[in-house]
Amino acid sequence: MADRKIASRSALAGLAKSGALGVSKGVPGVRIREITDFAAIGIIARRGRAAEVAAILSRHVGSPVVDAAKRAGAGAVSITGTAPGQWLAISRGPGTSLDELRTELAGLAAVTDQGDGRLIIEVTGPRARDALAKGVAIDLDAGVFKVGDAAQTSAAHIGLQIAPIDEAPTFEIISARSTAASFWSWLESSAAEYGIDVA
Amino acid sequence: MSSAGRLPTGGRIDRARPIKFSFDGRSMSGFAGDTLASALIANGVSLVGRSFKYHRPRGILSAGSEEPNALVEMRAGARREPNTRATSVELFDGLQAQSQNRWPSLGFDILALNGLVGGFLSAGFYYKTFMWPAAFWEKVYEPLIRRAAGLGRSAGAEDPDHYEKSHAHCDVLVIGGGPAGLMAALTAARSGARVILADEDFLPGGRLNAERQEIDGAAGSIWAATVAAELSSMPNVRLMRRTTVFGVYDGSTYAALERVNDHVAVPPPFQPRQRMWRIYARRSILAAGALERPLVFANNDRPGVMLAGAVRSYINRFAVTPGQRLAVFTCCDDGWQAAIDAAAAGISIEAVIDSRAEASPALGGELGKRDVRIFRGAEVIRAVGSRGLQAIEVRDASGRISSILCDALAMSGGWSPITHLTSHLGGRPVWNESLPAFVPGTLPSGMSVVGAANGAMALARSLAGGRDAGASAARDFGRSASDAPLPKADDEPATVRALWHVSGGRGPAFVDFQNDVTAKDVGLASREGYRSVELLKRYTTLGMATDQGKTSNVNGLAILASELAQPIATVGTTLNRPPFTPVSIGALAGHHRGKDFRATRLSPLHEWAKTHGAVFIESGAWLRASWFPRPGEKDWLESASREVRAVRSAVGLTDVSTLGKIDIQGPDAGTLLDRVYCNTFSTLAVGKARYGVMLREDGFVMDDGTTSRLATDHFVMTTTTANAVGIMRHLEFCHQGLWPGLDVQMTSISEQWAQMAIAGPKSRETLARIVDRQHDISDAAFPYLTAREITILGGTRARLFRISYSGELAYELAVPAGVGNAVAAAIMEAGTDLGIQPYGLEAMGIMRIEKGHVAGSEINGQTTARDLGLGKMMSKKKDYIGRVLAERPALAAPDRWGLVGLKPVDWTTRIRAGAHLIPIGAATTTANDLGYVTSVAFSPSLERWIGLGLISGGASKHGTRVRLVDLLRGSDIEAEVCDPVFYDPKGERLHG
Repeated sequence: MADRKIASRSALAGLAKSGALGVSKGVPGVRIREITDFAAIGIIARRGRAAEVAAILSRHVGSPVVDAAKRAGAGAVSITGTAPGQWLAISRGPGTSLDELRTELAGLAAVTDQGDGRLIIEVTGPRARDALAKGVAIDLDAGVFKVGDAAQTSAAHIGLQIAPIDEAPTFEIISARSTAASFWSWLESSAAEYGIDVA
Repeated sequence: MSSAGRLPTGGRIDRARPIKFSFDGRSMSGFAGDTLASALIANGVSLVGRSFKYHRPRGILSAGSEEPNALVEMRAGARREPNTRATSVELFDGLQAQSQNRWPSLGFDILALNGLVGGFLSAGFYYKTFMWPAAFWEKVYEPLIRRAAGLGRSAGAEDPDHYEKSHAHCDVLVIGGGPAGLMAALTAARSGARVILADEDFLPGGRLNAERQEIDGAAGSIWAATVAAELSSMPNVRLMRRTTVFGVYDGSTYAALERVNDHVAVPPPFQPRQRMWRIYARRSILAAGALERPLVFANNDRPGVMLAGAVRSYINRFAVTPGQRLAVFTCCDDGWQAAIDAAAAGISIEAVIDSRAEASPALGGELGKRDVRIFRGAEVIRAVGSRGLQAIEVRDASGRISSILCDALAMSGGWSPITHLTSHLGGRPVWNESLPAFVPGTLPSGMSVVGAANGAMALARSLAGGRDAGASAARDFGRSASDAPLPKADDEPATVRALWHVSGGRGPAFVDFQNDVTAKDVGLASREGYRSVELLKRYTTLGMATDQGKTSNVNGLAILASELAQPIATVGTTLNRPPFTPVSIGALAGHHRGKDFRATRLSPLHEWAKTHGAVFIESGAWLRASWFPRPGEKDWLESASREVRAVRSAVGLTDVSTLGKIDIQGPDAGTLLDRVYCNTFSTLAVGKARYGVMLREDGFVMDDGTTSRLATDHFVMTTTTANAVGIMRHLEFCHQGLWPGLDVQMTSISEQWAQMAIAGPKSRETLARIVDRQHDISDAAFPYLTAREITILGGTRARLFRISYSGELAYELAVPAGVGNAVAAAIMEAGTDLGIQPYGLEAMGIMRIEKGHVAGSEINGQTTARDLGLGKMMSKKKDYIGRVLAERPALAAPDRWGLVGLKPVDWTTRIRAGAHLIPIGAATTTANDLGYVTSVAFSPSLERWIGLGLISGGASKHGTRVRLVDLLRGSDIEAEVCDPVFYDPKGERLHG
């Protein structure tokens, strides 16, 4: 049988069509971009090995990774603390992989593929905070939730991981694939009054 | 533009922006800045509604959200909303309002006859009258009473507007935008603290907009506007107009309702009508102000009788005249101001009646020169007029009664601090005799109270209190609050002597206008033994409904105290609960209505199933493909039967992605599994799958599923769809709480993997066409219960499990969720010539019943592993959760209900799940109940109805006959009890 290349479908495929949504006058207050090419792995340190795992993660990402709700990494690879001794590593870009990191962590941590189960979007724009506050209960203020911080929280009863990744502000939001349609419905409805541009 | 009730100049209205609206179909006009109430007054409307019980004509009592009388139906069609307070509705172009609680018209109302028989409708009337016969209550009395008593009508159609929720965080939440609140917010904000100022009005300033007091030598309203502008310009401040903080909750959490677009006819596109805020505030400063108390005398509800502060609001803020000939009745200094302001506006002042003989001669200032009749130590004993005030009867200090003609009466019984929010967490207000009123007692953590809400009834004191509280909050956050000089203002005279009830007038003296509770009702309730304030409230309905007794509670308590001859402090007060003012259900629901009521989960094979025309069913949060109809098929059973035949004869593909999938790794993974499953997993060979049963601690079955071992320290567990989250939680609890020493790591991979079952005699042949050629899936290389990581379609990572729920040769294939649809499509294509068909939940359900597999109907929380015929799985060589309690004698009793198969004797008869098992010839009584039918299906393979059931004695009953009795649906069918495995009992097809 000949090998056949099969296409992967992103979590928001068919839902978030690029273009303008909501109020259409002036500069859109919220810009949304789905990240479609990425790999993600969940990492849980074996008992008593969290420090060693953090050290490997730090080396890999090029900046300190701590065992806390923080997001490290400014480039294609980022690592976010998701629970004590647990991290989510993400590598962005077409054809990307985290296999090298997986190999380094062998015996020190349980690693699971998670990229296909996730939706990743970036929400930015002058009204990004106002739109997100309609579901996210944590304080998104620039003085409180800073670049490098991350949180596990929820919006519209849907669990998510959120981190400000620049001071624009741009928020990276990671949520589950299965609820992507419901999540999108909430986000679109919440941002519509400010005008939305979908990349 | 001019109208009868509008003053030629003045007011905080925009005369350049006239606004058209209608009331009871009559076109009227007002100005931007009006409320509906002020615009009605401007148009000469004084009769606005009918009262709840007696249908008495009612006008406008107040100028704020405390209004008990002027309740109207707003808007029309699907946007219609009843019981809206005209006094807090901001006027907008095209506003439509209707009076309510009247028939056939506001002017002539049939049920006003209730007023004539008012003596019968006294406190507890309904309880006393509609008692017998008891059966009449639901069917006759209640509907009748409801029809007569209804306040307004709901829209009866879906609300076309959208509502939303939002969250805000701040250092200091200031509640109320009057002088104290503005001063507090300004002081805290200037220190750099994050401040939210929430004000229920559309114009910040509170009483400053309604009074003629000056601050820094200019009108108080100008100072308020200046402060509001400064606050608006500060990046650390959120000034929220039209926002009512209506509740205080634990953890310094506050709920607020922002009426984003209540002041327009239709919200602009994409904007919400209202927004519910949850505000997290480290400190809060309550500056909610005070409410003026009405005076209780005969016919005090006549349209034209108004609170004195409201009279000033209408004159000073809205430039409208509540009447041409005004009288004032007061027991406090503040009431006089209404006469002074009205006189300044050119209104004729007929009289000022102060109940205090000792009232200061200085009060009233210039009024004396205007030939105004001034009474000290006198009382208004009765209002005269029906649909509008015509005169008042005054009893002077010597007891002589005289009649004074007037069309408006301003009354003031003094002011009560708005302590509501201080009580939401249980704080009990305390009585302050000098006010006299309740002031805040124990405060919610982090809250301070300033201004009139704290009993500081005069302006200069309010400003000072606001500044101090703002500075103190700032200091709490380590910020230095510069001691900004206080704006210059005076304290107005504010002495008061309580006057709770004026007796002697003919006619009802209302305490609670909204519920038509009179002073007499309070007295009667007290004499009948309702001596606690809580009982008084419930018996008389005093303080209930939309206004929650804002204008009536203190008067009611005081009258009760007087009846009981006890001090008010002893009688106490009822505690306020949220919400402070009514909140629409739409705002509470926010985005979560219709399809967004809760999140829907879509399988990674959803698109594939849709392509094949699946009919979806909601299963928990999931949408699952139920069956795949083909043209010409008349119902689900026909489609599902065809799908079953395809699987049994060729091959089918179904989506099992919704099953819970848990990745379990670590050196102690096997140990953990041995402890949570009743059977053993540590001995499972790598590359093998095993069916497992988990028990609860109490010995009953919790869940089942297959778990496979991919490596020595790596297992993959599956759970049922319904328990996916619960089992993950259970395992986390076991690991963290029971055995933290185990080196095991668990994570949910439910979202990561799309999983599909490929089942049927041709499943291997189909799969072989997509599995990469280096992976041998022949029966010898990949026997039953093999589980391995493979690649398919040229390198796509996958996991293949040879397990079967259908009883056929079958596999489950897991692939990354992103390629789920594509892989399913590829398999369908590969199997086309082999006759592959998609099959859904219904077909799956039929096949599992044919095979006697248990599912949710049997694993129902009341069955043990033995009950389900799974007793042999319970290991005797190890300990596990549920082992000890599963051995309780009752759980091992031979007559316990056990799983069996059921076949109707007449094979053509349809049987129903839920039918009870009754011995042949026995009466259909609970005592004769042997069990019940848990699941039924029409088996296309056996061409007959079959069922699974639980019967006392279980397998020992095989071969006997029972009746399946369904009293609800009226069937009584004889059936044979048999082994639950109907199809391929030896399991040969699995190994094909």
